[in-house]
Amino acid sequence: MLLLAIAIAVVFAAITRDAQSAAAPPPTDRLDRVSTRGAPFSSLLLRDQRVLNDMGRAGAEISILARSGERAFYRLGKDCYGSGPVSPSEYTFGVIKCSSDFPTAAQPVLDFSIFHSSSGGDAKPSAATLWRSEGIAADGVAKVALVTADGQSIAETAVVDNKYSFSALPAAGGVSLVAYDARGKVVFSEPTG
Amino acid sequence: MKRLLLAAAVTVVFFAAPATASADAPWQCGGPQDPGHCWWGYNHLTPGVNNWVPGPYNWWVTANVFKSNGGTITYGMYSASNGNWCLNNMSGSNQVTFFSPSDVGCGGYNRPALGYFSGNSSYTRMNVQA
Repeated sequence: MLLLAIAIAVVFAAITRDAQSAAAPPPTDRLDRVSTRGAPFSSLLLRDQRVLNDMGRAGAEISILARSGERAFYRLGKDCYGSGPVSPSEYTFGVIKCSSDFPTAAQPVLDFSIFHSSSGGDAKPSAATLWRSEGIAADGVAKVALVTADGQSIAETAVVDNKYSFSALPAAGGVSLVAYDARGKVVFSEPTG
Repeated sequence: MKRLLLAAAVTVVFFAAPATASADAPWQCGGPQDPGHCWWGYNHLTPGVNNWVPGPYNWWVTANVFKSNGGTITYGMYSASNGNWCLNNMSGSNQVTFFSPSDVGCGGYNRPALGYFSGNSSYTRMNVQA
C-alpha cells in the first residue's frame, strides 16, 4: 500500500513538472513581452504633460522601469516607452517612441539611438556617428551589440530590466544594432546610422 | 478690393505658418539632386523663407510614421547651433515618436524637423509643434 502511494506521488510530481515546463516558454520565445513593471511615476513637468497631450497619450499610466547612469527609462501607457535625464529639470522625457509592433518577434527592440551627422542645411546627412545608444528590449532579448557592416561586433551590452544602454560608443559610423536571445541567436537587427 | 483682401490673407498665412509651426505636409521625394530620398521640412513648406526657430525648450517634434512595406526610415532635425543633424531610425510600422532637441544634442538655434528618410515607405507623415 505504501509503495503504491509512493508510486502515485512520483507519477503526479512528474506530470506536474512536465505541465510547468510546457507552460513556461523557452527564453528565445519571450519576444512579445516586457515584464519589468517598475515603479509608478507621476512627477511630470508642464512640458511633459503638453507633449503627452499632443501625442494623444494624456493620462497614460507611467512607470519608471530603470535608471542607468544619467538616464532613466519609462513605460507610458500600453505601447509607449521613453527615456530622459535621470534628474529632470526642464523635461522628463527626452525621447518617446510608441509602436503597436513592439514587443513582437518581428520587433523585439525599440531603439532610441541617436546619431549625428555634421552635414548641414539641405545636404543629405552623411558620415553619421552614434551619439547615444539606448532602448527597450523584450524579455527574450539577452544582449545587444553594435556590429559593423562586415559583421564584426565592436561593442555589446546586456539587457537589464528590459533596457539597454551603451556606456562607450564606437567612433566608426555605419554600425547596426543587433539583438540576441539567451542562446546567442540573432533576433533583430536595425541600422543605427 | 478683392486683390487687396487676397493679398492680406496670403500674408497672414505666410507669416502664421512658422509661428504655429504645425503642419502636415507631403514629403518631397527624389529630385535630380537627391534621387531615392525624401525630405520634409519648413524649407519645403515655404521655400526661401527663413524658418529657423530659437530653442532649445520651446518646440518639439512628433513624427507619425506609417509604413507598410518594410525598410527603415531615418528622420531627424538639424541644429544651426552646433551644425549637427540629430537622427534616429525606425523600422516596423505605425510608430509615433517624440524627441526633444536638447536631449538629442540638437538644442540651441534650430531648424526643427527637417525630416529625412530613406528606405521604402508607402506613406509617411510628420507633424511639428512648437
